[in-house]
Amino acid sequence: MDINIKNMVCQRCVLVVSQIFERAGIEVKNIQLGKVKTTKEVAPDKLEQVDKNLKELGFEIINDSKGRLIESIKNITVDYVYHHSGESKMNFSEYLTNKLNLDYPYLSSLFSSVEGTTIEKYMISLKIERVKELLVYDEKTLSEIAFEMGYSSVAHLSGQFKKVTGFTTSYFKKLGEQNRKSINDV
Amino acid sequence: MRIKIRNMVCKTCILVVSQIFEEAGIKVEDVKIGYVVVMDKITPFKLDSVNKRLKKAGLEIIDVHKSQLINKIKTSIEEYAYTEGRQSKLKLSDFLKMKIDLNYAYISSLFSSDQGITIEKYLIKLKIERAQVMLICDEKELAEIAWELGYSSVPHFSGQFKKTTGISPTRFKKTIKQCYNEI
Repeated sequence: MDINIKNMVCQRCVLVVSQIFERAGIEVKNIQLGKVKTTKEVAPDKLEQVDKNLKELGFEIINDSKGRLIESIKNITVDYVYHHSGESKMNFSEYLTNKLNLDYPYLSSLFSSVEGTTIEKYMISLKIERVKELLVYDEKTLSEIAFEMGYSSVAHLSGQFKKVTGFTTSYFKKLGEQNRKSINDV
Repeated sequence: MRIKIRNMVCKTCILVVSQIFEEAGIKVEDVKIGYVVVMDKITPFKLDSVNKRLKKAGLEIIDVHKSQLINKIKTSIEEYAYTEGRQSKLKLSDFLKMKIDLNYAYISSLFSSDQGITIEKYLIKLKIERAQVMLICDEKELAEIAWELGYSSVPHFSGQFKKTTGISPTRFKKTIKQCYNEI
């Protein structure tokens, strides 16, 4: 049985969600961002209990198809920002269309109507969070970060960073990590 | 004590991190995305065991990583000084970049801030130490030693030797011999 879950963004989320299912005595066959596959059908009352446990930690079982689609868009965007780097970054709208096999204008208008922000803006805020993370690690130069995140130039990255956060990248580095946000809040 | 943690991105990460620290019996004052504040000092051994658990969840303590990185830089410099350095055309900075796959400016500033000595000076120190050993043990000529350590000429070698130890290589050899004879 496939169960879709809202707000999963990283490996820790996968870990915690699988723990919740195990504790409820549900055997999980496969788990990835946003999706849990169980070996057997789960009874509705049990599912409700799991949903309650999930909600305590900020997750939620999604029941409607639109919600599912939006969550997949989000999951793909997170994966794209965090796990693709440099040249492999192809045009994101094409990438998304390929992944979901739906046409981009539809996905885009659906996302905007429900989320109140566009896919592009969502992606930019994720990217900026990732840039913040990389800046705080202090291991890479700004130009390396720009390249890794798929920006055409350092100037483009700095401009976007300042526009979103209000800080310049070097000032942010000085401030340190206390200004980072949870990526399920962006 | 503040401990930086790599790969934290969301609230669940905060939960997982505080769980791991608590399970290890460490009192946690505050956990935010990217770092943990603990009340007491933690022994390196305990920190290492926490780090192992964190790694299972895809997280990592950054300072531990740093010290490992420093060690890696050191062994790479040693490798360069003892083997690659012999007349090879490769610059140390390129060699390190190849070995460690990080930007040289970062490697260099990390190394100097942690060790209080620059990478270049560390390399010279290693080479001169090696030269001292060679002068004591081997019956090698200065020219041979200089060549083996990758110096372009004997004067260059002697000059650096004197600058570092305060005594010229020939003088060094003589003093050592004298000591031996006295014994």
